[in-house]
Amino acid sequence: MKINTFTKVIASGAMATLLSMSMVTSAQADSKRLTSPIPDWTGGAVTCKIAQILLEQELGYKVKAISMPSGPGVYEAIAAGDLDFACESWPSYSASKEVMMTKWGGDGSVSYLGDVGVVGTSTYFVPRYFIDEVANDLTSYAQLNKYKAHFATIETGGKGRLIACPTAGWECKDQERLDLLGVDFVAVELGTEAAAWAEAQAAYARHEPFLLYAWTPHWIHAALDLVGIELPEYGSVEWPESGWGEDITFNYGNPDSMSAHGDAAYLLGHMNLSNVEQSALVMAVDVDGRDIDEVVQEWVDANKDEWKHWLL
Amino acid sequence: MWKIFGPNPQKIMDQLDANSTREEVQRETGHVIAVKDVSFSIEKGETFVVMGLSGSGKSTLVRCLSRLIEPTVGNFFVGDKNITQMNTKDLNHFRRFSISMVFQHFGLFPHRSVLENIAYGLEIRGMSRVERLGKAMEVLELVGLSGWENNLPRELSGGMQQRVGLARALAVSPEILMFDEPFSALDPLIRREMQDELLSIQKVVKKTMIFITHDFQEAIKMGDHIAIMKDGEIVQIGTPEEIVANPKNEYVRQFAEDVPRYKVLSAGKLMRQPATQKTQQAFSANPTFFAHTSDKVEDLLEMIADSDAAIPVCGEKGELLGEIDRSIAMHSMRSKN
Amino acid sequence: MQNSLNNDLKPSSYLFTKLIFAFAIVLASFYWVGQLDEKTLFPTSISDPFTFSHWVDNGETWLKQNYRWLTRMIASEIRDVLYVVEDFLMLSPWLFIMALLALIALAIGGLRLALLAIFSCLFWGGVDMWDSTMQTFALMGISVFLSVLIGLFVGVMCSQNNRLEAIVRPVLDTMQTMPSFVYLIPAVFFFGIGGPPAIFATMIYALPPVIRLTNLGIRQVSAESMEVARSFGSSRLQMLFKVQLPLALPSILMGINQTIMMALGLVVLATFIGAEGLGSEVWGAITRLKVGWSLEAGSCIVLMAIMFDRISIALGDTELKLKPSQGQRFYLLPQQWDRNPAAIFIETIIGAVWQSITFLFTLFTKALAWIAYKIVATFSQSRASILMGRINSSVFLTGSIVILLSIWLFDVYVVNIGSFPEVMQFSIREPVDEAVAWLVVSPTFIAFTKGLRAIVYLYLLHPLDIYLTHLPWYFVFTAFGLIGWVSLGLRFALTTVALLFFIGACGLWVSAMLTLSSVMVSVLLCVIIGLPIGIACANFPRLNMILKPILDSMQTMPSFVYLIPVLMFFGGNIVSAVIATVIYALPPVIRMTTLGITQIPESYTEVSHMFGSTKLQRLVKVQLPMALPSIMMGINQGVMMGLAMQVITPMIGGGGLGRDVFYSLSLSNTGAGLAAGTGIVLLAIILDRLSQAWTKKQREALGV
Repeated sequence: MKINTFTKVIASGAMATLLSMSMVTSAQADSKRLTSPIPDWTGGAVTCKIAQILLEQELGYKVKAISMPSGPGVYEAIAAGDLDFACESWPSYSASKEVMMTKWGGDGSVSYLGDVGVVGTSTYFVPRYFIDEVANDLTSYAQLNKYKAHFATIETGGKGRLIACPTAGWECKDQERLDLLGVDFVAVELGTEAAAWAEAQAAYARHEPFLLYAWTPHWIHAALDLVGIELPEYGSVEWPESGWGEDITFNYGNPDSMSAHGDAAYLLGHMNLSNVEQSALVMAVDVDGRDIDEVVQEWVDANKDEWKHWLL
Repeated sequence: MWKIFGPNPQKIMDQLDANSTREEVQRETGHVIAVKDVSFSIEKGETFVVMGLSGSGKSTLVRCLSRLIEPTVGNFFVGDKNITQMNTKDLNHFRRFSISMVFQHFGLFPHRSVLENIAYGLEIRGMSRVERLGKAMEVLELVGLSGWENNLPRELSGGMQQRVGLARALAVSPEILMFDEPFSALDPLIRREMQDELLSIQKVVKKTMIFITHDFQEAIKMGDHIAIMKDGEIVQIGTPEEIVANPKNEYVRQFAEDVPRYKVLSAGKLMRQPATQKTQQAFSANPTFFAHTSDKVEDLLEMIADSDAAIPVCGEKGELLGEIDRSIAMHSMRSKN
Repeated sequence: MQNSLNNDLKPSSYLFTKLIFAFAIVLASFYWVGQLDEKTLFPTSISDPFTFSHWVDNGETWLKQNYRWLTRMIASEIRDVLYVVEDFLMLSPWLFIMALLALIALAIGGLRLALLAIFSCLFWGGVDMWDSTMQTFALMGISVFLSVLIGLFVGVMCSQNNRLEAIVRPVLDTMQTMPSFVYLIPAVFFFGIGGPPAIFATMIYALPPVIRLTNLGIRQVSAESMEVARSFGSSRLQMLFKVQLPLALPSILMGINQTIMMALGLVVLATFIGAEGLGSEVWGAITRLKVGWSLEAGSCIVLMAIMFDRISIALGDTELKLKPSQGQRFYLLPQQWDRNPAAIFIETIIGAVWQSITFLFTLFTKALAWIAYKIVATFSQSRASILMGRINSSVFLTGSIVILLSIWLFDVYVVNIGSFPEVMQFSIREPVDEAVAWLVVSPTFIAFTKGLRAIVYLYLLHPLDIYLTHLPWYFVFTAFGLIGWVSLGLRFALTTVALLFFIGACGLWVSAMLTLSSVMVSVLLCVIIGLPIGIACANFPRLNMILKPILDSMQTMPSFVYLIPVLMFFGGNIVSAVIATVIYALPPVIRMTTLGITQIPESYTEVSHMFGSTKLQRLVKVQLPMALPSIMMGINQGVMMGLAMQVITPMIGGGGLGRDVFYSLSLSNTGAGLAAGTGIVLLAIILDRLSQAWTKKQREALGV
């Protein structure tokens, strides 16, 4: 049996190496080590990179950054202690906060560290060319019905289509809003952010009209020239009570880890980045195509006066 | 010994009416009686042939002996050991050391080389690699396959494959060798060659053999004793000669008719008794010119052909018992009685 | 029983009965569809108290409180091993890894495989994804290793025990069809993030084939071989190790092959719980809408899949070719090209390379064996000759060890080889992105996609959606029950109804019907597209040759990669979801059609030739009917893959149960996610059993 001997040789060799090496490398946990996910959108990635650089260069931490899509997985992992902290959660888009954070009535398995300073605002957008060429008077939701035929698709029949807030889990309740506002549109959820942007980009490339749910700050505005449609203010009667107002973004972390690393928790709780500052960095990355590490390092080097107050 | 196939053989066994036929039982209970009240004994060193058509229960019977199939009722003694009562450990020991089998479709393991196939039985015993391969090599030479040891079975012809099967059975030097229609899958010419070879090997090794076949000619050729089976029962047991000379019923006779009787029958069976006056005189005149009762007619043909007179036939002690002449010999060449 | 069935049911009349039956059901149903009211929906009086998701959540909490220490312990062990493997792969010089892979491929599958391995390595490094690839490699390696270990054990146990097999079988079905999202997110709490939960999730998904095929392989060992082994007094263990397992080896290897393929299917999903590697590249590209980038990452996965696939097939085909044999001639190009002088020239060069590699290896091994012999012979003559025989019989092994050793020594003592050289890097991102951008605005192409979208939506999907969701639930129950009864008997009919009842009671009725509708339309499109292609492939071997690698890639390319282009071409809506499903589920339909036709015995086609039938007559009257069981099997696989795709399509606008899974999980609601996932599993089980029963009857009727 040639197979047997050959496999045996390989298998025993592999096992031996594995065993011997695993003895050597079973490293002890370092008290100055933190783990954090890199957000999968550029704005968040910039915020997190600033935090990471400061933690490493000023506080002497070693931060292991893991690429992991934001969402319930991150919350689970922070609650379980596998991730120590995460940056820039948008409250409207993280339903898990209500299960896990005391601030929103959860069980406290994830703790709130502090606001980031970036404030997100959401609304509906149309491409500028549509306003320029077809609908000069389209400024608020009230005129949408007039142009609904332009926005209609095969699936929506006579109604217009809204490329809605993509994930039901974000609880944007677009359809409810449209109905309450008397806008004769159908909210089409595409399931993922990427899908919504792809759809918008393709339509933009073809010079077609579309109505898109989006928020700022966001790179899509760098790529496409979009104009916001005026909506009634948040909290007024037409809106569902649970709706999105301003998204005051925040950093969050594992309670045990953060109380053990007070200086890190202080930094994450006190760092403050305005929309304008972040947008400049996002543009440099997404539009100029520069390396994110380089861009953020430049910012850190240039803004010592600002971030020195963030440290304990 | 009994073997009944079905969901509840033991119950059927208890209730069985001894006179009911196989069909009746099957129709009424759904159980198949494969082996029905069979018993026989085999001498050490002899070749015992079980002959029957397909479905007669011969394969089941021989598998019941080594308990590849558990018999429903019955015992099989080897010497004073009762195989049927053995526990698994003893049974495996018995199979490893005392008995081995050659199979109809050779049953060679496709993943093992010829040599490893032959050494299988020894390997199971736990014999060391060097020792068992050495032993296997010897047997390989005995069956005339030297040079093929590292080939895989599928690279060999049918006849050669069965030689390997035979070698594998011989390698464990068992007390008993069982053959389950070993040559029926081979071409007629190869079959005859293998039969002759087995006979010559048997002359050397002198094992007790149990040989299953559906071919009456083969049974006659190979067997010291033959048991003819039909519908799970043994119809007749006897030496080839007894069976050909005195078929017990029509069924056996049908087989016997196809056999050239002069090849099977001996002078003793066919001779005219007592010898005529004339032959008695000839015998006393020339007491060295006679045939033994055990001589096959076939072997006497020259003698009979050359002599116009009848030939005296003597018993073992040289006493004159009868005579055989041309007319008797010629009659024996007809197959029908 | 058997006879009577064959006598009074000819294949054609059998099909005919089926059609009449189906037609009657459809006809009756129209009566109901007109009147949508409360009665057509599953009664809330049943679904309200049936709080399945609550029970699951409570169970999860209980598990979290009591058993987390255990899963964490296991996870940390796995993590240690994973880090070691990862470090080994990522820190070794790239040349070393390439040589290692190429030499393994060379020993197992000859020069062609070795070239494939080298090409793959150059591609991985070339598109600058060497590290990601090695991470995925480590993850896959450990997942597959553990799957095989556990799978072999369970498979062997199942083969020895019928009752265990009966218990395990439905569990395996569930493992294979349960959308992995359902257990992916909860796994984080139990196993942490990154490798361990990814390995755990991969194993759940990829384990079934090894178990199934080990069990099957052992059970298929001929009764004669077993009898022979018993007659020599083999104990149960001896029988297992000396007879059953070796004889089941080809089947087991096939199972391992499938396991590898399925494990690679989870690479992208694993990134959702922080397992880095090629999956994160794909996901990163998708969130940034970079089609070219995601295609590069996807191609890395495809190359890895193809390489593993070919290696494990080569392993199953023959014994290890540790010794170069004379008959083993290597062809790079198809042999039909032999007449072309250029092809001959190329082949000659490659032949010479092959010869010289073999020669060098042999020479070297002989020398080594001789030296070893001389040294050992001073102690023991017999041991020395055994050793020499061993060395001589494994030409590639010894040669490989020496090559690897010398690369390693070179790296350590002479020049540090380091990571993949930047000079050799290339990129296909820009051309791909440009092509996509061009297609997106191309008026003809967009007119085509819009037309297709309109047809599919207006004439297939929409009517079927309305039809199925408006059918009263008790009608669907009865219809499925009856179909089940006719196809498989009363017991299956009752099971079907019970499973449907579960779906209804979980409050998933409408979603389930939407899913059913999507899958049906997708499979219908698959058949419309796949059948002609399959037939064409069967008739034109050259076309088949060209299509084969494309189909391979389609099956192993992570479906995420083509989600974005599909979306850009077809727009974000349910039709895109259907189109993506069609792309994913098409290959088995084509493959099985081709296989079915090419497998028809020569004699049948000869008969029809003799009667002078035209090609079309032959196709319709002989080939298609004979290939029907095989085609049905392809459709069955298509249905299963279509259902599997239901969890992915919500990412581009798909609806139904898949969206429920997605939605629940983004709310951290495991119970609801599991309920919706179970809904998909149950649909899969019902459809699978039904179509397998039909295929079997068809086969019996045809007597094949």
